[in-house]
Amino acid sequence: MASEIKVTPLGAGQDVGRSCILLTIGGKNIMLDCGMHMGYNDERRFPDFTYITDEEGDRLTDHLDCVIISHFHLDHCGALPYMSEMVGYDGPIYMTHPTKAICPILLEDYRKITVERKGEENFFTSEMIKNCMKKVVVVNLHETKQVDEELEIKAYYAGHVLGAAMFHIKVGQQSVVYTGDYNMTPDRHLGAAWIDKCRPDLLITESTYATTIRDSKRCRERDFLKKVHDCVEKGGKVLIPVFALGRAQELCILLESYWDRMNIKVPIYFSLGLTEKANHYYKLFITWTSQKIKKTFVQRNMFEFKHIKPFDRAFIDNPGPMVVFATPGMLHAGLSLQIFKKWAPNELNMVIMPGYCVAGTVGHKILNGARKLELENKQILDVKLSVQYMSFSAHADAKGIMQLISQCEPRNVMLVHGEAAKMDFLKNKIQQEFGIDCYKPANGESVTIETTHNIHVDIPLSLLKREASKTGLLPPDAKRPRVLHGALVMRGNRLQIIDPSQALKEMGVEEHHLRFTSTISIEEEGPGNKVAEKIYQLVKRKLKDFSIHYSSDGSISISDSLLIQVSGDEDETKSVLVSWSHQDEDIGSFLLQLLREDPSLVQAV
Amino acid sequence: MLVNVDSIISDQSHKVKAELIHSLCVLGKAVPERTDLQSSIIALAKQHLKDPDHRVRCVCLELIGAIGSPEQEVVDDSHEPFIPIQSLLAGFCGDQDSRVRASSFNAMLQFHQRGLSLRLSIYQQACQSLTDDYQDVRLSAMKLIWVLSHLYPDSLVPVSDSEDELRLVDDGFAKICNMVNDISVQVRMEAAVLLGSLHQVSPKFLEQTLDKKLMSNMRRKKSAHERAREHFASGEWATGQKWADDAPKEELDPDNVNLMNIGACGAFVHGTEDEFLEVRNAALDSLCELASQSASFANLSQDSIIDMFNDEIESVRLNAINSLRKLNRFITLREDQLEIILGVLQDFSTKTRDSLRDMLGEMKLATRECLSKCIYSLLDNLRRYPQDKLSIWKCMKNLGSHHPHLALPLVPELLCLHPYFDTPEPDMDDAAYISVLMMVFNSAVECPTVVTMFQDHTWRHYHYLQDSLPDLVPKLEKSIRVAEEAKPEAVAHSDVRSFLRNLISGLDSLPNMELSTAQPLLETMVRDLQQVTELNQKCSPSAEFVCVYLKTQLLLTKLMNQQGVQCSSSIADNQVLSLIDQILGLTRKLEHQYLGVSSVDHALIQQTRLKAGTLQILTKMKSDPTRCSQAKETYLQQLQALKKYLETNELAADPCFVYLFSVLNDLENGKISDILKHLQHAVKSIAPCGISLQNSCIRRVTAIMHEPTGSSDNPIRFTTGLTVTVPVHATFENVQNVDCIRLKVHYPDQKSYLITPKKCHFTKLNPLQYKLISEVIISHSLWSDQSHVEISIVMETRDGETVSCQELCRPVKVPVAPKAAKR
Repeated sequence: MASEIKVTPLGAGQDVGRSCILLTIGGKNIMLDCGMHMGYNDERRFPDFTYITDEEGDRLTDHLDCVIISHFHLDHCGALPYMSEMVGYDGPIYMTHPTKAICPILLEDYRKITVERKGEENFFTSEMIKNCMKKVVVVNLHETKQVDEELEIKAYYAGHVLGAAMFHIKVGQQSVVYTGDYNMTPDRHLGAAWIDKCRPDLLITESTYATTIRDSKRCRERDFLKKVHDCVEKGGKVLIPVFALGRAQELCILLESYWDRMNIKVPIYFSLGLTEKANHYYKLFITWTSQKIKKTFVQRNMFEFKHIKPFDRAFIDNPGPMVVFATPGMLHAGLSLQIFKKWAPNELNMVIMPGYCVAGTVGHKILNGARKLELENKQILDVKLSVQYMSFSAHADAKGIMQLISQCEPRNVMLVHGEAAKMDFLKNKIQQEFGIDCYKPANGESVTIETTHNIHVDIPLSLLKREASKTGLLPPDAKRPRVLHGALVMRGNRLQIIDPSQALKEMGVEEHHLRFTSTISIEEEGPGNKVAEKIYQLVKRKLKDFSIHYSSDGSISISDSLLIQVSGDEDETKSVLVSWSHQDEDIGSFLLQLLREDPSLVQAV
Repeated sequence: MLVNVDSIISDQSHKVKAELIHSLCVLGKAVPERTDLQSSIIALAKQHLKDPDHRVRCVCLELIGAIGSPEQEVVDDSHEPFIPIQSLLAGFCGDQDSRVRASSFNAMLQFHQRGLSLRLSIYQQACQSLTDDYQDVRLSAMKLIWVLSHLYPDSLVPVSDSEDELRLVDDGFAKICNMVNDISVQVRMEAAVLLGSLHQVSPKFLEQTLDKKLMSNMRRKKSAHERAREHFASGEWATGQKWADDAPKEELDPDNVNLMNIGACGAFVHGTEDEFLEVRNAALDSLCELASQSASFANLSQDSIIDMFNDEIESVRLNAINSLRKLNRFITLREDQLEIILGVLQDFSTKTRDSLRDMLGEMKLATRECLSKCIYSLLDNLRRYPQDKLSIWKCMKNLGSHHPHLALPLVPELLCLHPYFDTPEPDMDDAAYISVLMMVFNSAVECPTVVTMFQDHTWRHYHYLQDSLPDLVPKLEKSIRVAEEAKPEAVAHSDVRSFLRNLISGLDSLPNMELSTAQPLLETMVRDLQQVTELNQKCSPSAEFVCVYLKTQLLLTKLMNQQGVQCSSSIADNQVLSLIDQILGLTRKLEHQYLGVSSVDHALIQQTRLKAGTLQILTKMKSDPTRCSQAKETYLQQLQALKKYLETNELAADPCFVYLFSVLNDLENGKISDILKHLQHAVKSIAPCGISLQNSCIRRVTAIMHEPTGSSDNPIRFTTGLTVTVPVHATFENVQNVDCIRLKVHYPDQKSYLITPKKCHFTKLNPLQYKLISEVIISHSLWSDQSHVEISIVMETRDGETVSCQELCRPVKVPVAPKAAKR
């Protein structure tokens, strides 16, 4: 019996950004993440929800059982208010506590930038964000949440950012793990992703760093600190474009402790607004952070920064060195782009890109070596400052991905959230390494995975134990099959194996015994019990695993239900009676054959 | 008995069964010689291995592990009549219950612990169990692999999917390395621990552990190993350091499969990056252990260890520092590495800084720049944390003596020499200048060129420092010449010692001397000795000891002289009693403050004390015979204790005590008049006594208080009635037990308080050396003006019931000014 799991990425299929994956499992429809794309400013920035709805005005509620948000990054939750309020979805949205706390801040920020700065219309409003958040159901780590009678989800720690989670989704026997974004190496403030050996049918994993194996994180940290230190010592300004939450906090902790140790007085600024609120939440959700922060927060909460001050727009033109963390992280809009434009012409300055940049953003362009940028108003910007890239984004590298696969042992793997060419590479590796199927669907392309469906049968413990004690053979051997007698009963839609006698009783049917009896005649001199003795020896030799009993009246009983009897005392031909019940058909017919085929065997004894 | 047990074991309850078998196990262990009994117990346990309950099976396996042996054969009813126990256990490695599986591995581990050898055949099964769903099983299987890797390091095991074979130790090492990525923290930690002891692993496997990128392809053959290196060089994997260097390269040769998750690849990189400090610490320990076995690996690993200097947890940083120190014979520090290391000198934790300086002193530095960087960082360290002075000097000393030739070009700069001009003489109280001198003087030992650069004042400072800090300043050859000119009569150690000897031998006739002659003799001797004490530091404790002892004798002589006068006015009595108290105080000091006193000398001290005691009780009894019962009791106890001590050490008693011991019964039960008579008789034979000084190297308990220094004029201000803490740093030498160390705070109103420092405030430096970093809390009501609070270190001693305190260092005056509370 086979059933299937169907997956269709609406976003993040062979692409980074706009994560939105539709999953059909056991008749349930689930949307995994609902993000926006950083690289586009038109309707392509949101997933195409018309794929789900049949006609105009149709609501998503009828088509989706639940929505799961893995973490608060906008490329994983940015389209949420649009989907729930503007397209229409009233079902539950699952996320973790920190995600629920921080997500609305980011959405509001995103809305502000789009509506107030770019002057877009027909965008979701603050009210919509609020309403959308009302539909959220929170999940704790390792808590199994029952969405409905059949569908259950469970969250695992994913590292990456505060509150990031991997989700194990299970319907009946089919299960899928969706990783969201995750990190297998711990960093300054978060632990490593962890999952138990849940053996899902399908693992949907991100693959941002499909072809990268990163150096030790300490080398990276040291390099980063050294670059920053050298630059400010020469009097340059350092711009670090970050997304308000996540990497930013790690880098803050890193710089803060370095400043402390080295006694540097150069100011560090963090763009105002978001951060204060966000840091507040970071201070609250200490249980989601790493061992160190959890241990030391009694004395000092690591997120209470001493050296890091809020940034004011007026500081851009201040003379002298400084370090500025500014949002957003890919230099595509907002403050970070503004600062970049000011600082770019000075070669003393430096910009450090601490993470991934989506194609199309300014960040992506300068990282690829562009030294002249064309701005919106046809101005040309000379990029003279030094551009550094430092992979701080907390995604698992190729080795981490492989490690996760070996930890949860899935039957199939699907790669999303990565670039197509790199996925190919990793796909080959996975297939070679684990010998399992690997998929990498593009957006809008459906993948159907066949799963073998096991039939679930209940069996009472007493019956199992009785059988186990009957054949408690030693040493245990997985290769030796065991026989268990029982009656298969269907009750409602559940299957049960119960004791045959109980089944009969319940049915009100009288028990009938079926016995096979056969008589063979053997040409043999001598008294009957001598022949019986010979047969006993033979049987004993052939059937080692059975209890064989030889009684004084010349009958041999095997396993209590088989009987061999020799009659015809002084005659030349002895008749041997073999009798067995139908449960012992195998052994009975084996015996009969043994005796019938080769009576000389008996003589040979 | 076994038969009985057998019948009880057929009990229905599995719990009872398990307990019974456990008792049998204890029983079997208790009678190792009864092999027949043991084998019948094992046979019994084997029967119950069929039990459906896991507890019973577990405990049976445990029993077999505890008293069976792997080659022993037991009756088996299924196939062959007898099977060896190890095969029996191997069967249970596939049991349906995870606890039973773990137990069967543990039973085999127990065999190993009991010194019985295991068969290699279990290896494959253990390897399979590494992927078990349950962590206990993985843990035990991993340990078993480790054991087998030790037992059969060089036997070959086949590599899956190929025809090649590998040494077992390499294969096992790779498998354990792989467990560093396990889900469970315990397994990861254990894996990291086990790696460290596999010394026999081949270098190529060892080298992989530090590089994530080298693929485990090298499991096959050497050529493949090189091929993989080329792949790495051609950049198959991006590092994440550069943008866009991760574009996939051409398709790989399908034969060249990268078995990513197998192999030792990057095990230590993962281990040292782990989220949990337990794993990181274990990985660091193992890394250090393996590196100390091979110079080449030490060189490879030094970067990884130095990276750990920046760990967020202090204990890990400390561990990293100590690990690097252990590798000092293999590695040379480069400039870039030093930068990271020296950053730690600014660490807030004293312990970390201390161990870092110790480490630095033992390291080889690569270039002159390294040394100069070290020196300037240490000076910066001194500025930040002046209390580190001593440790910095020591580190400077080591740097100088280890790198004389690197130091040579730095000397002019360090000593502020100028080719034409004389530079001003630096301030001798400047700790930084002293630090520099330490380095320069010690480098001059190996490199005489340095000496020629010394200026006159440098020489002067040298002599001063050589006297004041002889441990840190070496003898320079030229200096001896100069020193001889300056101080022709330098007293060498041997001179002092022979002087002491002569002096002591002159004391032999002391008991027989007239009191009137003894007194002036003792007086001169005490004076001489006091001078010797000041002259030479090394011998001073012995001289001091003798000096104090002779002082007691001198006092005793004076007492006897007065006894001779026999005037019994109460004024004279008081005078006598005060002398006696002095003697008692001195003897207490002799007893507790000096280490290495021989039993003969000890007996002399005790007798001196008791002589004083005898005089004391006699004087008291004479003045008021009725109120002395309590004092008499204690006196008698002391007398008996002395007798016992002399008897156990087989020493002769003084004539006065010979008499007293003989009348001990009378003293206990006799009338007061009798006692008085006996005592008076005994007192007559009291005479001063010489000392043998069998051990000429007596050491004195000393304490040096580094903080508070007492030099501060700024009073500590605090609000009346509230408290203020004064940090106390001190070092102790020759202290046997720090429990008796107290901090004494003496207020101007003559009240003093003893404070017991917490045990954790002491750090042991050497067997008899301790460091104390603690604080005292002071508080007082309002004073009209600022005044001094004296803080000192005392040792609390107990003689029987009496508790007394002895000062170990001069009290330090701390100016304190309580101010009125504002309302």
